[in-house]
Amino acid sequence: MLKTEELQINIGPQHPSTHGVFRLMATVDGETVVHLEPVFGYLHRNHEQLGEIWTYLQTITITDRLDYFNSMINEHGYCMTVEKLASIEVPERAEYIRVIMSELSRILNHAAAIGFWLQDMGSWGTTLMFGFRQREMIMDIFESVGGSRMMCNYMRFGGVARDLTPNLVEQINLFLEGFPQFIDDFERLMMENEILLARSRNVGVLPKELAAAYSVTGPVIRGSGIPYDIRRAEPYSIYDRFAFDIPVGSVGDVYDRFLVRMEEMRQSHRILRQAMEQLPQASGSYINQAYKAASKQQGLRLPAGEAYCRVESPKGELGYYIVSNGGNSAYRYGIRAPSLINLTALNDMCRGYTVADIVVILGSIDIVMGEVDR
Amino acid sequence: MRAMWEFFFGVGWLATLTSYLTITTAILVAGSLVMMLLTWIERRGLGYMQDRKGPNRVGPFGLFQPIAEAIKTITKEDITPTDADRWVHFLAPVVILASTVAAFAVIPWGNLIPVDINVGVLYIVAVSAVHTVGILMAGWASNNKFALLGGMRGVAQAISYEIPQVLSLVSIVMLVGSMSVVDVIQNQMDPYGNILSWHIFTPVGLLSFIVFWIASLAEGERPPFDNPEAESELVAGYMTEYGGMKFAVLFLANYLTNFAICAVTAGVFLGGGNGPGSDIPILGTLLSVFYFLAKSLGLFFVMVWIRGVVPRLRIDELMHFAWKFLLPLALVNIFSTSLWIAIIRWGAEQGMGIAEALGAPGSIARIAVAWVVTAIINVVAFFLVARLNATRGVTTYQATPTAV
Amino acid sequence: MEIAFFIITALLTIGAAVAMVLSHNAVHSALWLVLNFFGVAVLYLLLNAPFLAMVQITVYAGAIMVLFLFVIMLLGSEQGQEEVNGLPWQTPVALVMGLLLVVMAGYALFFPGTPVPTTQTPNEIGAPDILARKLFSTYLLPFEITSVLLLVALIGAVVLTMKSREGDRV
Repeated sequence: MLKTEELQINIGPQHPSTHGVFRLMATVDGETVVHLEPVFGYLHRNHEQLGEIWTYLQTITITDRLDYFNSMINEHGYCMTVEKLASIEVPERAEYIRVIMSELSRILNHAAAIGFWLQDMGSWGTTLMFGFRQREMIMDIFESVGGSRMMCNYMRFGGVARDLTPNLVEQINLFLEGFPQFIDDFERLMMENEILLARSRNVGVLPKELAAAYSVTGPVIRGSGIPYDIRRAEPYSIYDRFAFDIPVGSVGDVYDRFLVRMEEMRQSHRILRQAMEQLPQASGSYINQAYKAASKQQGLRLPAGEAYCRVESPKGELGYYIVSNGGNSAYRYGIRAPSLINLTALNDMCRGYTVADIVVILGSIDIVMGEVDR
Repeated sequence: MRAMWEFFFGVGWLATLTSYLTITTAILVAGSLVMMLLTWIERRGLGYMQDRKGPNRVGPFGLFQPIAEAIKTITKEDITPTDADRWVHFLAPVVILASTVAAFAVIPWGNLIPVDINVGVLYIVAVSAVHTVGILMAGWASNNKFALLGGMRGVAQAISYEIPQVLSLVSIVMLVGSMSVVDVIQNQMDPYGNILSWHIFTPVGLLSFIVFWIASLAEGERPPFDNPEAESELVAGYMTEYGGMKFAVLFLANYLTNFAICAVTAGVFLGGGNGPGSDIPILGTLLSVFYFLAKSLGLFFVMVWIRGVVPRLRIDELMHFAWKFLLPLALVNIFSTSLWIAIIRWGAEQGMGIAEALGAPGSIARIAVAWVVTAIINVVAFFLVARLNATRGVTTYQATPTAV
Repeated sequence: MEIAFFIITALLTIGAAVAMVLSHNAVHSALWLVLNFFGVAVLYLLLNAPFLAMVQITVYAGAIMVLFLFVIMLLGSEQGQEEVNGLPWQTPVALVMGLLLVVMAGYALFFPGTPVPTTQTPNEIGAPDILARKLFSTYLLPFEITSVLLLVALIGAVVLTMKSREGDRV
C-alpha cells in the first residue's frame, strides 16, 4: 500500500473546455478528484447594477447578454416581470409568438449543448456541427424577426417588436417538418455509441435529495428524477394550453441529463406544433397597441412595488426580481441565474471521479458564463 | 593507418554514402509531401462528414493549404517557456521526428524498397518505441502541468498498446517465418497470386489485423485514443508549450506516424503494392506504388472516419481496453497461428503425422482444415473476450416522459 | 569505414556514459543513458547482430528508460539533493572494483588471446532463429530463472500498488 500525495491543479481560466473564462481548482489524488472548487467572476459586467441605472426598455437589450444562447427566453422573463409590475396586458397572438420563440430557443440550446458536451468528451465536432445546423436554421428565424442572430432584442413590454409574417410562419413550419428527422439521426449517432455509454453512465451522479438540497433546476434536477419544470409547476404565459410531458431520468448521472435534453427537444417540438396550429390570425395584435401608443408619449414609469417572475430557461429556473420606486428605472434588480446555482453542485458531482470526467460533468450541467458571472 | 586513410577517402565509400543519402532524401521529401496530402484529406474529409466545406480557398480544392500553413508556422516566433529546460525542450521534437522518419527506412513503397533488413518488422517497433522518449522529454521540459500530464499519458498509453501491437505482429512473423518486411509482402503473393492470399483474408490475419489496427491507432494517438493531446482535458497535452516551427515539427511527426501506421498495415496485412499487374517490369513498379498509396491512404481515410464519429475514451478505460481486450486476443491469435502452421506445414517429422492424412504440406484440404479450426478459435475468443469486457449490472436507461 | 564508424560510435557511447554520471539533473542523466543505449545498439549492428540491436532499442531505450524517466518525473526528484553519504563503505569498494575492471580491460587489450574459432559465420549468430534455438536449448535454465525473477518482480509491483479492499474506493 503506497502513500499518495494530493495535488492541486488549476483548470482554467484559460482552458478550452471551461465554457468561457472560468477556473476549476481541483484537488486530485492521482487522477481521482478529492475536492473541486469552481472559481468565477472573471466575466462580471455589472449586469444588475446596470439594470438599476438604465431604463426598463434599455435593460431588455442587456438581458440578451445573460445567457447568450437563449436571448429570447431571457427577454421573455424580464418582460413578464415588468408587465406584472405595471399590469400590462399582452395580446393573445403575442403570447403565442413568445412561446414559439421560447421553444425554438430551447431546441437551439439543447442541440448546441449536447454538441458541446460531446465536444468535451472528445468527438471532434461532428455532433457539434450536426447540432449547429439546427441552431443555424433557428437563428435564421430569429434574425428575421429580431434583426440579429443571437442578441435578438425582440420582446417588448406588452408583446413583441414585430409581427410574424406569413413567410416566417412558413419558415418555422418548414423547420418543424425536418426536425424529427434530425433528432432521429442525432440519436442514432450517439445513443448507443459504446464509448459514450462508457464515459457517461454512472458518471457525475447527483442523487435526488442532494439535487433538491442544492436547488438545482432544469435538466440537471430532472435528470436526477424530480419532475420539476416551471412550465408545469407554475404555468406562465400560455403554457397551460399545451399538452407536453416532462422527461425525468432515473439515476441522475451524465447520461440521464443527456437523455432528458434529447426528450425535451422532442417535447418542445410537440409544443411548437400545437402553438403553430393555434396561432391566432388577427394581425396587428402582436403588441398591446394602447400601451405602445401611451409609452411613446411619456416613456415607461412603473408604479412603486416589487415583482418576481420566473421562466423555465433551458438551463433551469430563471427568475427576475424588480423593485420599483416609481422612477423610470428599477430601484433594485436581481436575477436568479440557473447556471450559477447548478454550478454549485459541481463539487459533489465530481468528487470521486477522474479528472477527465470533470470536463464531461461540467459539460452536462450546460453553463454559460455570461449568466454565471453577470 | 594507411588502410584507414583509404577507407575514409576511397571512392567506394563515397558511392555508398551518396546512394544512401539519395534514399534518405527521397524518404524525407516523399514523407513531407505525403504529410501535406494527409492533412488535406483529414480536414476536407472531416469537413464533409461534419456538413461543412473544410479548407477550400488556397489552390485548387484547397490543396495548397498545407503550404500556406507551413509558411505561417515558419515565420512565427520561436518561444521557449521561462524555466523550461531549454535543451530538452528543443530536442524533444527532433527526437520525435527522427524516430518517426526512421521507420520509413524499411517501409517498401510498392516495389520500391529503401532498405531491406532481416529484422525489418522489429526495427519498426524499435524506432517507434523511441518516440515515447521524445514525448516524455517534451512533456517534462515544458514546465507545465498539463504538458507533463499529457506526456505521462502518452507514455503510459504507448507502452501499454505496444504490447498487443507487437504480439499481433508476432503471429504474422510466425506465418511468414521471417521478420523482413519484404518477405512479409512476398508471402502474400504466394501461393496462388490472387487477392485472397493477403494476410487479412485468413482468420489468423484478420484477428491480427484488428488488434494491430486498434493498437496502432493508440500508438499514433488517433481518436478515440488521443488522450495525450486531449484538447478538452489537457489543452494540447505535451504540445501545449510548443509554437512555431517546433510545433510544426511535432505536427509533421504526428502525421508521419499515422502514415507509417497505415503503410505498415497495408504492407503487412493488405499485400503492400500487390495488385493486378504489379509484376510487369517497369509499369508494374508504378502500378505497385499506386496500389500501395491507394491502400495506405484508404486506411488513413478510415482513421479520419473514426475520428469523425467517436468520442474519446477515458484514460483508465483505455488501459483496460489494452490489457483486458486486445492482449488476450493477441495471445489467442498466437496460439491459433501455431495451430495453423502445424496443420499446414508440419508432417510426421514434427509429430503431426495425422495431418498427412489430409495430403501434402500446403494442399487445399490442409488449408481448409486450418481455416476452419483457426476461424472457430478466433471467433469464439473474440466474442468471449468481448462478453467478459461488456459493462454489466447497468440498469436500462430511458428518460421517461411523465405527464405531471 | 566500419572502423571509423566504430570509433565515432564508441566515443559517443563513452561520452554519453560519462555525461550520465556527471550530470546533476536526474532527467538529464536518464536521457544521456538513452543515448548510451543507442550507441550500444549501433555497436551491436556493427557486430552483425541486428536482432540484438533492435531488442536493445525496444527494451532498454524504449521501455525501461522511459519507465525510469517516468518515475523520476513523478517523484519530482530531478534536482539531486546534497545528501549525507549513507553508504560510507561504498567508495573504497567502488574504487577497487573500478581498478579491477581497468586491469581486465587492459589485459584484454594488450594480451589478445587467439580468437575462438567459430563454426558459424557472424551473419548467422545474430539471427533470431539461431538465438531462439540457443535460448531454448543450451541456456534454458538461465532463461527460466530470469523469467521467474521477472514474475516475482511483477507480483511484487502489483502487491505494492494494490489498494486495501475495505478502505478507499478503487
